Amino acid sequence: MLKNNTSNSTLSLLERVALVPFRITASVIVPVITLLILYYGFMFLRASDANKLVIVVVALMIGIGGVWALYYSTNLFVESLLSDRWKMLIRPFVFVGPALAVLFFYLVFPVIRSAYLSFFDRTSTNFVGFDNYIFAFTDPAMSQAAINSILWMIIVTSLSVGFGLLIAILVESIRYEKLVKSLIFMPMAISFVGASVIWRFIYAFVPAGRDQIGMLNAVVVWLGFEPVGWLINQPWNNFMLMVVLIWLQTGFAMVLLSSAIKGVPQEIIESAQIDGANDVQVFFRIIIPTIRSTIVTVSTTILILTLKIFDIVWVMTNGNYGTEVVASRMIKEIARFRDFGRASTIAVILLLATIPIMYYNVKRFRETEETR
Amino acid sequence: MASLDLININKVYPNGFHAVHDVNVKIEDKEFIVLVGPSGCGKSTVLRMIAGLEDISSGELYIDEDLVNDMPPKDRDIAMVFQNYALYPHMSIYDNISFGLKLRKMSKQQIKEKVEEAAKILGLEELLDRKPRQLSGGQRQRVALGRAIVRDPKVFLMDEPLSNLDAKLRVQTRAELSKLHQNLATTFIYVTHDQTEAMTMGTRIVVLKDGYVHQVADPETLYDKPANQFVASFIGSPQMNFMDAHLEEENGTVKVKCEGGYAQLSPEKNNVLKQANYAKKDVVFGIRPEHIQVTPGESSGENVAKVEVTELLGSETNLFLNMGSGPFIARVDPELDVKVGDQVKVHFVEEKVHLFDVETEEALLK
Repeated sequence: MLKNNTSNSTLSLLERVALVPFRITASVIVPVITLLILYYGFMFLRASDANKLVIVVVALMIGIGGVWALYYSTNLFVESLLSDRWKMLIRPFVFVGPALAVLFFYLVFPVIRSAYLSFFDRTSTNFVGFDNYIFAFTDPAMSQAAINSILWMIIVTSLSVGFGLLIAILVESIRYEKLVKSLIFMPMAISFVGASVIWRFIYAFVPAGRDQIGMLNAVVVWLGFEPVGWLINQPWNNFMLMVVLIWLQTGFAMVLLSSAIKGVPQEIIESAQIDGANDVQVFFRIIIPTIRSTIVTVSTTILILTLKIFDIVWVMTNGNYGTEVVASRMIKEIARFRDFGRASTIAVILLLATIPIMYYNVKRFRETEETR
Repeated sequence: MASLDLININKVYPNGFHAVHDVNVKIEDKEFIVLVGPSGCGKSTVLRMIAGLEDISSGELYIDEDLVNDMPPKDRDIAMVFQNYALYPHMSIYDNISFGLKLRKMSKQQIKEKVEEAAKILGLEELLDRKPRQLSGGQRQRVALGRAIVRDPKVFLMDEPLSNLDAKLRVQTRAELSKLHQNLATTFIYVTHDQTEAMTMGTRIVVLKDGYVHQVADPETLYDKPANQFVASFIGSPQMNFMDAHLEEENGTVKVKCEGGYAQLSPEKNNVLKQANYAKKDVVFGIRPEHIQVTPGESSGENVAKVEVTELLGSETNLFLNMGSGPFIARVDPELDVKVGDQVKVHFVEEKVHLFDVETEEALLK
């Protein structure tokens, strides 16, 4: 932009006017050519049967270069606009536009589409009104899933945050603090499916009399009891599944809470001690209120995660034995029953359920920003 | 209201750093004790050991007659004002002040009376509903004081409470603290690196350096009879002048000879030196700027100095003089007619001459 201006000043008015049509043509043609090259490059690569590695490398180059070329050429187009006012109006969209477009196609559009589909039948052809919603709120299997989901939200969130807080305060400034924290944080690196497979082995059940391959039952039998069907006995099997997520999320909660605790000024704690507070009072009256915003953030993050959880249930019990949750039910509707209407309905309900949490989160965030 | 007794207090950190060496101080009831010294001298560590925030490595600490070495801070019945005030950010001013009382399960009515009384003393009545972040530095400082006052503690501990205030407010608060000490009639222990604060507020001052106590004395003694060269240089502003000198005996009196001049001694100091057999030794000669008398208009002979710089401070003028061995400062009447480049006659007031051992830096004329 700057360069254009300075070069303009060296040209006479006449020359500049004469250049205008040329510049506009150029600035329209360049983006068009860029787009065409990208399109045909993509088509060529798709059709090509060359070595896959070569294709990947070339595609990466075209992809990254293409993004640059697109930004450059559209910017060129805006720069050639005649009035500054139009430039100011349009230029932001040149840079934000692609991101907005991606956001729209991958987030906003699917939401609208899901909401739309939720009013249609399983094949998305006949309008059925609120039938799917009536199903979602009256079907006994759905009620079971809803109750389980609520249990997941309450139990997993409170225990993960509770344990995280407890560990954070207990390992505070002990000698092997870093090692202990790393070990507890490590499950975070395991995928939900991977963790579920691990825990299925831990919970594995073989009828009495034969060798137990599950760790828990091995211990139970060794102690002289009958083996337990951890994943079958209702309603306790639900808690066995929750244990997996708690195991995964405690480390996450611990790391964030621990750094928040470290951020509490030492002087405030000392001041409270001198004021007469014992360790428990310091913890509940000084540390907890001071790190409250972190606790809220961690809690809501885990809360939303539990709403979305389906993989653990899917892998370990497949939703059988009364362990269905709303999200796994949604996957079941779409993958097994091919009922797009009901699946979309559940998706919409899940989305609506997260809105209050998100709203509270954003509100809290703004409040803490203001007090800074 | 309490007396404290610090006996051979030491602090050695786990990394081997010996921060405090054998501190012995007996603090009487209702004293205003100031621990003063340059940063890193261990004064805050001593205070934190008294508070119970820091373990005592060896030695004994008594509050009244009780050995409190292993007593947690909450049971020591002390109050502390921190440098950054350490107010609880999530509590209102009222809750900040009453926190300690609530923990002591005092009745609500009693708490209210106490807080209101303290708020009145400190002028915080209008601010009780606010949060600390809505207050200015000076106001926060008073809240921190209020939090200490309502507790009626045995001992007040203050860790550089004025250092975050601007200069004007600091002078004002200094006077308020002295007044508060008189009204409350409680033992105050105050840490600062500012010798002015120490001199103006303390009834007794403990001068520390590198973890050692160098002198414990009231302000006058500290100023008139510093125990060693460090104390002499630390107390007083501008600081005491030091010159290398040699003692010579002439007709039975000892003269302090330094480059370009000499100082004479009062008869009693004379006797002290003679008895200590110090004649003919090398010493460090110390004299405060206010104890140098300057007469303009002389240009030859001994004790004639050249004026290198003049600093007019309004009520007084600091002259940077040189007799040949480097500059020293004299504080004179601003009416005195001297200009840069003038030659002046210098007289060192006999009673105010300080002499220090070259090796040990200890004062020779105690």
